[in-house]
Amino acid sequence: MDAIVAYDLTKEYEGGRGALRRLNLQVPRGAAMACVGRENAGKTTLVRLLSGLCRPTSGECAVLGRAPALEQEGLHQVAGTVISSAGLYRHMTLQENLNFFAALHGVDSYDAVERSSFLLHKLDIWEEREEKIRELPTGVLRRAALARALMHRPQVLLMDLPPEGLDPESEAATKELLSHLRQEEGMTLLLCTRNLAYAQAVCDSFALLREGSLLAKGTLESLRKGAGVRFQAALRLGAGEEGPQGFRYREEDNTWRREIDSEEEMPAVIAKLAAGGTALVEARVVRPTLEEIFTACLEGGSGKEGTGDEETGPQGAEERPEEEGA
Amino acid sequence: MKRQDPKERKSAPRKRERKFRWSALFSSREMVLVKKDLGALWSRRGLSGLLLLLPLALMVGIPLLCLLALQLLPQEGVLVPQELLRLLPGEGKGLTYQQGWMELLTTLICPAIFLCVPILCSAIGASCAFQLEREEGTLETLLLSAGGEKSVYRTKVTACTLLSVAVSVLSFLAFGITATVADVVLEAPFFFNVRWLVLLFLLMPALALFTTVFFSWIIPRVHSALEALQTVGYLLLPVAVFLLLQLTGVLRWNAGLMLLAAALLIAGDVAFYNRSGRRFQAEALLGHPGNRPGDS
Repeated sequence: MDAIVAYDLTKEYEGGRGALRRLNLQVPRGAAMACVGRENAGKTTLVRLLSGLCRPTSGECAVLGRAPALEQEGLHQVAGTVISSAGLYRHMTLQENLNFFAALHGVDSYDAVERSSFLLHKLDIWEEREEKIRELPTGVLRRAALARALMHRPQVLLMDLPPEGLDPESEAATKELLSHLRQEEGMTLLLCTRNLAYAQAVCDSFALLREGSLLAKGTLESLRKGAGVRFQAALRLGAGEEGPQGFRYREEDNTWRREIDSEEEMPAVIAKLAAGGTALVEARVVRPTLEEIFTACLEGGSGKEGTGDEETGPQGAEERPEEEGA
Repeated sequence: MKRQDPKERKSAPRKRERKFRWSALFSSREMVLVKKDLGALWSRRGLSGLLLLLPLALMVGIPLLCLLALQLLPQEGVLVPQELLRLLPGEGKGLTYQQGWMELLTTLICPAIFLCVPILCSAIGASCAFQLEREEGTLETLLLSAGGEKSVYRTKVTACTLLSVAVSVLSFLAFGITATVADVVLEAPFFFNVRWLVLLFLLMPALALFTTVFFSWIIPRVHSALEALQTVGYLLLPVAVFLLLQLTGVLRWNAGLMLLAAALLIAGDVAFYNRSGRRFQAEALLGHPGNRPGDS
């Protein structure tokens, strides 16, 4: 059984404004999937539907076999949800908040102490545990919200990051913790965010959303292939060397770049340059980022919205013309 | 001393323990929520001060002031005027001026004031438990953590109502002491009667519940706790009308009418509680994404 499933999940608000349109999604147990998209993509709505905070207009969804709207108590025992609008009690300290929410989930007080200690240390907010919530900075609050959602050792974590993302400290701390929980506790993660770099670092599969519809889903490699985005060979040459034919100069990092179809082409590129006597300082394969793939999907999939049944890019993506090689 | 036969001890019926357990009303997790709500209310000095001082001011302060004022009235040879007698339900004959006023106070005016106490207490408790939580974003967190919308609704309504009833009972006890002392000083008839009984055990709890449910019902319709508290005027209006009708002699309450009113109010409470509970859904309470900061 998949940890999270959605079948033709649709949500429309009053006035006919659609937030999600026939979304199909499956997240296997133990996997980490990121739903990424720009504003009004439907990310927050998806998390709210899966956590039972709103009901779908049509379609179905389930988390560990539980319908969120109908089995709220059972769902909240096995799933944790982080939404930026869900706050902590300002008149209580961080530790008191964690103890309170642990008790609400029926966690034993001894276990709660142990668990909160682990989470606070991992998130690097141990020193702030006796501070009142109203006195804590935003970055600490974001991590505290994550700690709150993890106190009862959920099997599934639904995480909706704020539009402005996380500060660098919080990003580093949360990445490490989420990775640890996935490995040690087999936790399933569904992350919804606009921060594509963070999503790429944390998750291993992705669903690209635009205006409530699924553009494409899959691993980074399958999305790359589907969107027709190629690798790049990046070369740094010795002083005074002219750029090889077919390569374009990139001033930001002083490299010469050319698109290649696969990483296996790189040795041949290097060998050809070496045979031609070019002084090569550095040669590497630049893999496309999620951001580049997403942008390509948006451009390639304009006007055509997939239902997301295929594990590739959008339908009808044009093939890029082959560039002249070195 | 004769030793009891073990067989007899086994067959003898055991006395049932009649100790009240909170677990009958709340589960252990719900008790956690109740304690948190009470702690949150207590931590807000303004609200907790209002909750304690307002009932005292109404139920002790006003009668004390009236008692002091009565001391200034003439004490000898003046009987209760006819206009006053008409307002008193049959007990006004043979009373002095001061005794008659005291009787008027405890029979007509103070019951109406007492009805304000559960309304105000429930309003303060419920605005803290519902509206303030919604404003601060913690209602959403609660709905993600606790046993579901119905559990949160039931727990908060029950806790707020019980708190209001407890404060109302305490304020009544304080009033009772004040009124008894006044009755003794003025040699007036003892204030407590059947009407007060109906008021204390039926009307007061019903009003407390009604007000709490009302405040849970208006969550989506108000933007702040202050705005919610301002609606308490709508609930106090009928009490003011009740007092006015009494003082003008248009309507004279007796125990039977009060019992009828209590029965209607309790029936209304049950219906309103169920209806409000069905509408206590996160989507209606919190609004939809895109309209709130932090939504992507």
